[in-house]
Amino acid sequence: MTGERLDDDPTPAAGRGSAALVQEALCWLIDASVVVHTIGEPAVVPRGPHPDEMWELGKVCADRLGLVVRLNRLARRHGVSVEDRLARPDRHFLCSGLRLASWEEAIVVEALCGAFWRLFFESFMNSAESELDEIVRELWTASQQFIRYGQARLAQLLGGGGSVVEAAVDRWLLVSLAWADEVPPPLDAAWLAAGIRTRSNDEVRGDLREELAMSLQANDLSVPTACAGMLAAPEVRWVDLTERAAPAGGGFRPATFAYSERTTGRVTAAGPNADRSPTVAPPEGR
Amino acid sequence: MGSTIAEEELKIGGRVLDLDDLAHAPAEYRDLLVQLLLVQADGEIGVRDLGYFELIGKFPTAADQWMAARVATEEIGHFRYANAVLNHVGYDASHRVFVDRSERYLGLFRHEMHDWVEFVTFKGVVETMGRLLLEGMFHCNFLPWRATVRRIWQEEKGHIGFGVTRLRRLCATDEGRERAQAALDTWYPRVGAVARPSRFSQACLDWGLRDLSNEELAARFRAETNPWIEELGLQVPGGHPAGGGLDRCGLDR
Repeated sequence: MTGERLDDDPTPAAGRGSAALVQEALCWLIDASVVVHTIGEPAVVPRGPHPDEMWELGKVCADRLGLVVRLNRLARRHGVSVEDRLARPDRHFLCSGLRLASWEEAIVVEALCGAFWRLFFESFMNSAESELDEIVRELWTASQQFIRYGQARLAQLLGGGGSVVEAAVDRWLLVSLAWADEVPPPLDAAWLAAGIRTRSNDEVRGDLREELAMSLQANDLSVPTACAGMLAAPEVRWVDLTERAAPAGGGFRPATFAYSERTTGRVTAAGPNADRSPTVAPPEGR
Repeated sequence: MGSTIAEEELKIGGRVLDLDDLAHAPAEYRDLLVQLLLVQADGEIGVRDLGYFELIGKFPTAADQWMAARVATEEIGHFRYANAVLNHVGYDASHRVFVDRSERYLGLFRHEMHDWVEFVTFKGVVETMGRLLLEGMFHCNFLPWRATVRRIWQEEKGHIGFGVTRLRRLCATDEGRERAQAALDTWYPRVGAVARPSRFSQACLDWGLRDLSNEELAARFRAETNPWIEELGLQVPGGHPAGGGLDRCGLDR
């Protein structure tokens, strides 16, 4: 096996062998994981506002690169490697050549755009290929931590005024939305048919748009004009906590995060200022 | 303890100080300690400007990239350790974080790297001097710093190991050896700026903050690095040009 891009292969996707499809999946997972290099994240570490923030982002980059090493071990057994992928000018998720310009942008990318990586890795969970399932679980778990790190620092940044954040959102949101359109539909279908991938492009894209819209709203950030058509308002759902009945025996009403409400199907209302709408059905398969 | 600590108690040796004792130490000792910590913190944070982070993606393997990111981040961590001790004694070095490269206290940190080979050469060779400097403070009479020195030293050993193994690998080929020699020719002489005798280092020795003179450090550095540099098929660059040094570092209060 050579690690050639199979989406350029004239063989119909559905006709490819399982081994080739697994190899292709590993190429995509590598390309997703090395975005840390693609966007030049380590280079903005020294631009943090204080050594504490530099150290923290440095740790995030090192942890990301540690995962790349883990992924490389598996990929090599399947005939592909991180080194080969990094050398390819035509690898996936090249972000149109966009690179981080500041520590603040790195925070926005971790906090908001990071959702794509988690959803992308999640789409290979429960893969028929057990090694793939194992590595994406590791990548997914780490992604959660990176997102939490980004969200915590984003909240701090917003506390000091949101203009830097708004500018970073304007610059990066469209790029992350484009990531969700990169996997060619025939390859997506072949992965799904072979059981290598368990969630489709459409599901990943839909969840990403919903999650990004919700994150923007939760942080009082505007939807960039360029993304307005993709992040439509009805996708943003609020849990109106005031509607919660107090427990029969007294005490506090349960407060939960809107995102987990969506995934468990207990969403009760549309936006806070919108007309009340019927209970929204949960997306399937979560 | 409430009584003043006599200069002789510190200079003769045997007396160690904890945080609570510092207020009773001679003013000269306190100033020197702050200066020592400030120089250490400044050197550690100097890595943000050396080009370490920009070079991470240039390393040839995924494993090297990971290690380089860890090493660079740990150096930032060393600033935090040193600054934490400074904070305990009522000072802060945060104002040194964003100073221009040309303003770093140690001449060694007034340069920039352009190649990952320089990174590993710095770690494998130059960092040995950093480790020796730390070893020279193993018996520092200010206990909070002595404990921190051990912690930094432990990580520096790992950094040196990273540099040494990568240099060895690099020198397995003629082309690699040539690149390593170029990096060595650039960085090795710069160590001389750290190892020059200075009034500051003499004062640290006198007051029990250090117990290895700069001359001893230079001798140990040469004894430790030169044989294996030659073993790799590299030539030890001649001379330790003057420059840098610690004398220009002053307290800003």
